[in-house]
Amino acid sequence: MRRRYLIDGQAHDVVVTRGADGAVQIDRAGRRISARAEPLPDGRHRLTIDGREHAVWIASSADSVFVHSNATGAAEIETVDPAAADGHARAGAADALTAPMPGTVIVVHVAVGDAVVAGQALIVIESMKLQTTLIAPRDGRIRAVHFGVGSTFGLKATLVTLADA
Amino acid sequence: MKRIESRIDTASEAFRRNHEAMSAIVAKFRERMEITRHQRPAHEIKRVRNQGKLLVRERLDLLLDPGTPFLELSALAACEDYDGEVPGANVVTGLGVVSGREVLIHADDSSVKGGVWYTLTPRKLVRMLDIALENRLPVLHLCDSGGAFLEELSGVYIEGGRVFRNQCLLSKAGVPQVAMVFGHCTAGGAYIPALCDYSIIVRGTGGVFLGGPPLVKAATGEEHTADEIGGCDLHTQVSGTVDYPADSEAQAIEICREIVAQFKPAVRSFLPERDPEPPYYDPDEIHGIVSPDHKVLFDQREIIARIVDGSRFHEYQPAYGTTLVCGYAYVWGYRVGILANNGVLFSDSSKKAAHFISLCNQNRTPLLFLQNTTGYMIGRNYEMEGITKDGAKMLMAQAGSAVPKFTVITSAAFGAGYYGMCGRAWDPRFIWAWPNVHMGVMGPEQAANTLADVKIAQLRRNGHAPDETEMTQLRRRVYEKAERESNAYFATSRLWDDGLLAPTDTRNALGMALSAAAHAPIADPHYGIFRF
Repeated sequence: MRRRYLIDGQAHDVVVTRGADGAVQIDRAGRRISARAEPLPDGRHRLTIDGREHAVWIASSADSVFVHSNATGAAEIETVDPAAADGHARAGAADALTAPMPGTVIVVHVAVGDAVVAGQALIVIESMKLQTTLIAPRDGRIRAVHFGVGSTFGLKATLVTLADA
Repeated sequence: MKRIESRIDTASEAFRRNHEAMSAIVAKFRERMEITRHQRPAHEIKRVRNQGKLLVRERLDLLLDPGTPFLELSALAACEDYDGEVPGANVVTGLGVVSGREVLIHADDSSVKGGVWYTLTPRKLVRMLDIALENRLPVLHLCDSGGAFLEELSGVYIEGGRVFRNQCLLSKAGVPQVAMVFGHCTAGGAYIPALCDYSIIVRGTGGVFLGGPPLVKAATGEEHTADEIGGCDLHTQVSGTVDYPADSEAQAIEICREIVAQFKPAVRSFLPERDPEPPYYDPDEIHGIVSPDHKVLFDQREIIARIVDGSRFHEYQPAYGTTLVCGYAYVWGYRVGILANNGVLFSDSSKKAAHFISLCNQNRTPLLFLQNTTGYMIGRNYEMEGITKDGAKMLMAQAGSAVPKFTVITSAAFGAGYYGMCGRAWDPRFIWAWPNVHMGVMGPEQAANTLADVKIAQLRRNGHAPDETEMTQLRRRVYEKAERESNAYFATSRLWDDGLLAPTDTRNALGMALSAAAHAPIADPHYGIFRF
């Protein structure tokens, strides 16, 4: 398994291969490390890394694992999902908010010059029996509101444009 | 797999308002469920007790494995029919666990009018038996019914036949059935135990006969007690119609549990692939996300985040056809492909749906439709773009799909979008609606305005000027009727779904449904002609 970990903020790319008997092989920057983790009766874990043993406490949250040993103190290990970093194109950080369907403007929540934060409701439109609230894709300032309440617009019409804050 | 990043502000005014309104809708729903299940007139309960019988819920308690969930189907069937006086159409159906096996249950409720069949009763039974056929689930029948209600004979006659036909098909498919005869099985009802692989009858109260004592007397002049013409000893010692005698209902249930334990273990067509993980976001927040006004759109990713394992979702084509969200997630460890409406269906979103459905069939992934649709886009530009043939592609992909499909209606189900998103006619293994749902061919406002326009044109053609107040009244009349009939209770009363579901129960219901669906093998998909 190819993994990217952040250990105390620093990125490490490793390949983890599981052996048959609980052993783990870690390849990192051309170096191969053999390791193993076993629980100890007192709640700690014994980590064997290249033949050297370390007794550590392990705690995990949803995104991170914390490893504490008396010798080295605590370290936070975060898993980075490389697939999650890209994508996200759906909202984009575009400057123009376009109409997902043709319709009518029902409410305009902002005026030209207003500072807005990502996720803030800007304008509500109605089309095909549906009221849709369009939100700010990023922090910024309103450069223009192109349609007022009651006006109709076509598909992909620009409704609001943003400028940098 | 990436966790969905919720954008809901739980401190906002809109969230608070929605939460309050939806919580009230759900509380009302739970109250109606409670009344339907447990509230009966004292004299009816006394009558059942005097007959030495248990109430249907008491029987279920004895039958089901302790501590296991029971997923009741169409609990509110008939709630808006027969003046609301026939709770659950006089029958309880559901998916439960008996002796460690997942089974479907049909349990007659004799506490109202002796459990007689109304037209909706066999319709509910047929639906449960269809589920048994599609998912290859064993069926246990708890029989205690007075037969067809004499004022509903014609309706019961036609729909009832399919109960027995489905029983035969189940047997043919090698799916076992067990009947426990607690009360009378009269006329057609007598075939229910006779068509089961195993049957048990309680001495004293159980009776199986094609014609009951009054009918026999009228037809032939013979006079017999019920026990003499179709009681326990006659059928278990003489006719061989029933297999096991029992001295009490509790004993009959124990015999049944032992029979179920001998069924061959289920061979599953798919299994959970990961350890289940609760959603990262609190499912209760769904109440604050969904507006009670079905016209107000919400991001269905926010709903997905509160149903699936770890709120993790792999979105497919995140930038294309964005009014339909597609992607993979896990529910109780089962991999599912989700299609969720985020607006009107366009050509691009329809093609995306057809493509994604084919992908899920290719990799054997069950499909979950989260339906909130006001239909396909209309207008000249869209027709030129081919919206109709693209919608047809979606329907064709869906009908050719061989993986199990599940549908949950979260807010609106209007127009052909209801078909495209796997409505009742597209054979989802299970289909549920939330109690806030509105559905219909068109919205109440559209129906009222369209009819008014037609009426005005008609008057003008005949040389009359339309009277404004008359038109307002007509609009209001049509609107009110359409509004009443678009209500979730109206739909569930007529078995258009398999029951209403509280939003926070959705994840658990899906888990049970996935496990049930895995009992049937998955065929290879094959499709009709796609119009390109």
